[in-house]
Amino acid sequence: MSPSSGRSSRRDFLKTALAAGAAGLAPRPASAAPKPALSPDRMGVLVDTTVCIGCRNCEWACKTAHALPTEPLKSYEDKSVFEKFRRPDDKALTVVNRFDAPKDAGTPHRWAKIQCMHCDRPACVSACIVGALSKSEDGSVLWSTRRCIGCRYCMVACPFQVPAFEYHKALEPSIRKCDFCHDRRRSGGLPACVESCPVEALTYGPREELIRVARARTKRYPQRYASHIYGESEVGGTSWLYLAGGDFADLRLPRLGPDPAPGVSESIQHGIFAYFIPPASLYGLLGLLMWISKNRPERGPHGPGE
Amino acid sequence: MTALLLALAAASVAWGAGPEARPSTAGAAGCRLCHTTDTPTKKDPALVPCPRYSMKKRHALGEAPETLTLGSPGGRYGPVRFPHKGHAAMAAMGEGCSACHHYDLARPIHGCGDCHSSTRARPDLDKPDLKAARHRLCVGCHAQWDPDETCASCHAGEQGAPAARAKGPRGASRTNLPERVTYRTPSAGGQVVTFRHDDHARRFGLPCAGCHRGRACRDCHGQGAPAGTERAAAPRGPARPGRSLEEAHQACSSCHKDDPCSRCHRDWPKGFEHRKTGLALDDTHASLQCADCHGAAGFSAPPACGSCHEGRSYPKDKPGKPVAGPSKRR
Repeated sequence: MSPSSGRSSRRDFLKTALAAGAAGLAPRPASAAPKPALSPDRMGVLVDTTVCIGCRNCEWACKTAHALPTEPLKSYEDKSVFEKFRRPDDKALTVVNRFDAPKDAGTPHRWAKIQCMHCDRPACVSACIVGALSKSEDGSVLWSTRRCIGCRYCMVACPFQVPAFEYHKALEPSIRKCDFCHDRRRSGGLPACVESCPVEALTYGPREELIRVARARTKRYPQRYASHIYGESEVGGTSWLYLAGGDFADLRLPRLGPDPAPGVSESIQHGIFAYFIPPASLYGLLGLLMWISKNRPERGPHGPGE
Repeated sequence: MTALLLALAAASVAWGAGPEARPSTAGAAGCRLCHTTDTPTKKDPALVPCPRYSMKKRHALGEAPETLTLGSPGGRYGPVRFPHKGHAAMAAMGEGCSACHHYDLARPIHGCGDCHSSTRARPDLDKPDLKAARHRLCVGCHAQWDPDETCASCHAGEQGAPAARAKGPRGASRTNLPERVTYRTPSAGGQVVTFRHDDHARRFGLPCAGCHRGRACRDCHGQGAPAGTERAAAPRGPARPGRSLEEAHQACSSCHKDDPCSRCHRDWPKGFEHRKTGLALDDTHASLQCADCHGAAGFSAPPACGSCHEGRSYPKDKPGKPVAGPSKRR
């Protein structure tokens, strides 16, 4: 048969292959992204750092609730731990740090508890290549043992540097971070830290309600509070919210913009595959170039020169 | 009390917050006392903010209950034996009952549990729960004057061991008062005033709040200097500046109406400089004559302290500060 018929059959094959590929691949990038539709009733915690007294009962309660080894509660009265800034790790999912208070605060110190912020648009979920991390409808960002391959991309991605890796375990090491007491809450309980706080510096409730409460507090006591609610807009919003008497940077809470942390990387990655139009166009273009160059040698070498 | 108000007081315990807008309590009790609308619903109760600083009546110290037991025995910490009357007596020097209680419209006085929920998981998140409301009040002061306070300072231990404070307060108690306080005043007729605190408080049995009014907790419970130590007995230096003559004398003149200034104001004799001997005398001794200490035996014999100070003797106890050698000049 004529060479044209062979060419057309190959083009048909390419077309079919591309169409099949597009059909098979196109939905996947969309499902890998964190679900933008969040429940309006999702829960959160409001941390009022002007109320916290640095008793560290929350640290003890957290370890107890998560079956992590801990010293007896009495040992938490030791104030020397405050001399160094601490971060949550695989042995302590939440820690309290001490800071100097603003000048006219009436007390020499302020304390701030840190743990996973449970972002509305979590960078760790976006970065995880196997879907081991997920944002659940009730607000918590959860990690699954079954899926994790230990790549630790989540640790790099987190804008708050929260996920921790069990480096000391040679076999089946886990990523450890606050799970917002998912199991306790599912059975109607409170997060362990919230339950143990003697002064209710941690208020647990629906995120929307907490923002209303926080705003009412800042409005009512403007001398006591900075007007900003940390976490309301940071990195697209977080489930844990903070109130402070001064600059949040003084409590070493990172300055972050309102854009979700995975925004840039996701827009690039998802943009490349959006509806499979860019790859389809690329392969189409390549196919076109091949088709053009395929025709050229037929005329070129046997041209007038020979 | 004209208004009868069943409070759903949205209390948020705050330190240092100034007085603020509160619901109008004028006239008969209506919906508007607690709600911002005349038609509150269960779903949207439209509550006004907590009526803080709404103590309308001055309550007498005698009305205060003696001791309260707070908390339940089931918790991680045992219950707290709260010496309510002791705190009320201290509060009487300052803000009074309203230092802690901020609402008394409906009944003589409200307990915390009347408004603050005893469960932490609750729909109304505007005010702290009962445990938090109590802790915020206690810790607000206790943590300020002693950063080393722990839970066990107030709470009984796990096996029913008594709290560290159960033996009594470490601060200014009736048994731990300054013996005498010496003031240096700007008065020309006698700069030194020695106030015999022990006599007034113990022998005459005067109540603390009789003189100490308008004082904050920290005035006595200073950070790092528990009352009863040197700080309490040390001379106060120049009396608080900026006070008028009347203000400065208010506490004394209510009893000492007709006394001449010289009853309290004393001074050292002109040209008298005891420091030349190598010992700068405390101002407390300004009113004494030389012979009161040095006696008939003259200046070569050791001075006698025993006539005023029981069990004290020179040179073991000194009536002042030793200074660098006798001055050769002058």
